[in-house]
Amino acid sequence: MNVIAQGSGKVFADPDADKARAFFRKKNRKMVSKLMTVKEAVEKFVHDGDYLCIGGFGANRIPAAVCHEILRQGRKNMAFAGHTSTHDFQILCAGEVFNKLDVAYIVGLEARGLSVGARRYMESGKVEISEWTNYSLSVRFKAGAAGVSFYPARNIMGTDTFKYSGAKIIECPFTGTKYAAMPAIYPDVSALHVHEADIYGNCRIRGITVSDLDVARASKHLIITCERLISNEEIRREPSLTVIPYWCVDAVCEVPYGSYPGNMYGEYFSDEDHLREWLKVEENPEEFKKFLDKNIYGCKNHFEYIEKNGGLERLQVLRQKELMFTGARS
Amino acid sequence: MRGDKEVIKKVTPMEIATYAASRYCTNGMTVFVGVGLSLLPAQLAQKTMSPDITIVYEGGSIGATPIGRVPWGIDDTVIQANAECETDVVTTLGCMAQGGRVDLTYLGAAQCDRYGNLNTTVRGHDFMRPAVRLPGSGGAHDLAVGSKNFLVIMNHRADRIVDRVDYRTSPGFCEGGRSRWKVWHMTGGGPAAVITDLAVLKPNPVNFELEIAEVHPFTTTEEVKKNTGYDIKVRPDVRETDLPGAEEIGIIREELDITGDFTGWKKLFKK
Repeated sequence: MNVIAQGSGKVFADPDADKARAFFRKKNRKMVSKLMTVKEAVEKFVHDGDYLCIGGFGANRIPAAVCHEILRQGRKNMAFAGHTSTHDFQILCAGEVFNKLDVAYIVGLEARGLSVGARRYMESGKVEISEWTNYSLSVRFKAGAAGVSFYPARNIMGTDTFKYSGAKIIECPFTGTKYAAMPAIYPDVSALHVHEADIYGNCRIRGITVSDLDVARASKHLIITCERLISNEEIRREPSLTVIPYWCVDAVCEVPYGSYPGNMYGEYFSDEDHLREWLKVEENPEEFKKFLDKNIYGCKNHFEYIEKNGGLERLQVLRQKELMFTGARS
Repeated sequence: MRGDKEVIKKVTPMEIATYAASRYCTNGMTVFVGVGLSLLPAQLAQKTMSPDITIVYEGGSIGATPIGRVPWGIDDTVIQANAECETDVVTTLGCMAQGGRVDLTYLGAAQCDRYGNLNTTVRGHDFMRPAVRLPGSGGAHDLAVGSKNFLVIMNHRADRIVDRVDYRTSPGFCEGGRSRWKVWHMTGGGPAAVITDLAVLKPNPVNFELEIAEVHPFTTTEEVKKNTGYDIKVRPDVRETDLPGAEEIGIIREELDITGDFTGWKKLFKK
């Protein structure tokens, strides 16, 4: 196929479908219990230099516990998919976890403002960047999920984003239409937070799914944190609710309030006070270091983090707030 | 133009912009919105003259009708709770935007150039060591390419409405003329207007350069030109922007931007 033009950005994840297939051919698909702690899951499946993807959209349904644990275990030199990524990105920047980055949406926390900490890291020159868009990264995961090496899209041409991307422009063999070929991403490891899962990793999600279902299917290793464990009988009672099948999953960690301080649809609202405090404290590097020591490095796990920020009492307030908004449907 | 400063004692520039932008939304449209200021016009339209629009957020919420307050982001519960469908990005930006099912999109930007190209990626000219790193495209680029038309809402300053953007994230009319379609094979129609806190800019139908089409009543064409980073032309039929009525202002203040964070209306009541 003729390449008409190509961007100068690097492709950080190998799009080779044959290599991915060879990996998945050998990967165990046995239906065994994958229950473990977040600490064990990160020790086992997240390595220096890996390509990492974090699920959720913005601060919605993010695996915050996994992000914190990655910092505590000091992972470095990772590649990261900055796809609809806000508070999770802010956390990973605080630990300078990655130095290779696919950008679609980073640095901002939507209407809450820009993260000074994330900006500082991104403006330091320490991070190698390829630019994409949300749709581009979505179809890169879609290609990975389908087991092919690229996916055609009609976007990105005619912009600086194409110039700094790793996309290539090709011509459709059927119609002659120009497409940007988006290389597949097969993440080495991804982490998603879901509403319910059984011990084998069959998952249920409520609300928007973003690109998470494709991310789950494209990833070589997948860590699931869930609000609640449910029985396999319950999964089998209503299998149409299962959006991620167990054989995609490597670790299942039960972490109630696992998206805190982000929101979880139908469960609890985001802790806007805490997110605001986070954005504010980043402005002073000394204070920020103390803040991170208190909230991440000095915590054993996610429960201790929540305990330090109001505990069950605070969560109850966030829960009521969420139910008030979801109750607005009547 | 009047340059009537009395006007902004009763209504803020961003309320005028929100109202102006809301009028592009008509019944039956499928409308995409982003975060911050770009959230408000579609919601205002939905609550006033165009109740039958379908509002879509790229995260996967389709048919959203947020109640209670302005969402923090397009993943916010108030968006998800009242929607008709919760799905994924390939459906919203792929099936809908790329597939031709989106009529109008509201976008914000850090910079906009004379051809309506938008920058939301970096300020400064060294990409690797930018003066300011911004969020990047998000889904804005994908919507700027695929949506039938889009509207830009932003503040009007000489370093923001510029001759050339520092970085072209979301395409407007590219290099002008027919280049958007002839050279870059884009599907959608590009920006219908750029609506700022001072004026409404619209593309010239031949060279596609943005021109001053409407000026908000409290300012003048001279002021608008002074705050524009290129030698902007004034349309021969330039007129004053319509002001929102009591109903629209009431909805903005009491139902949409209750805290005043986006339109700044609370400042009107401070001594």
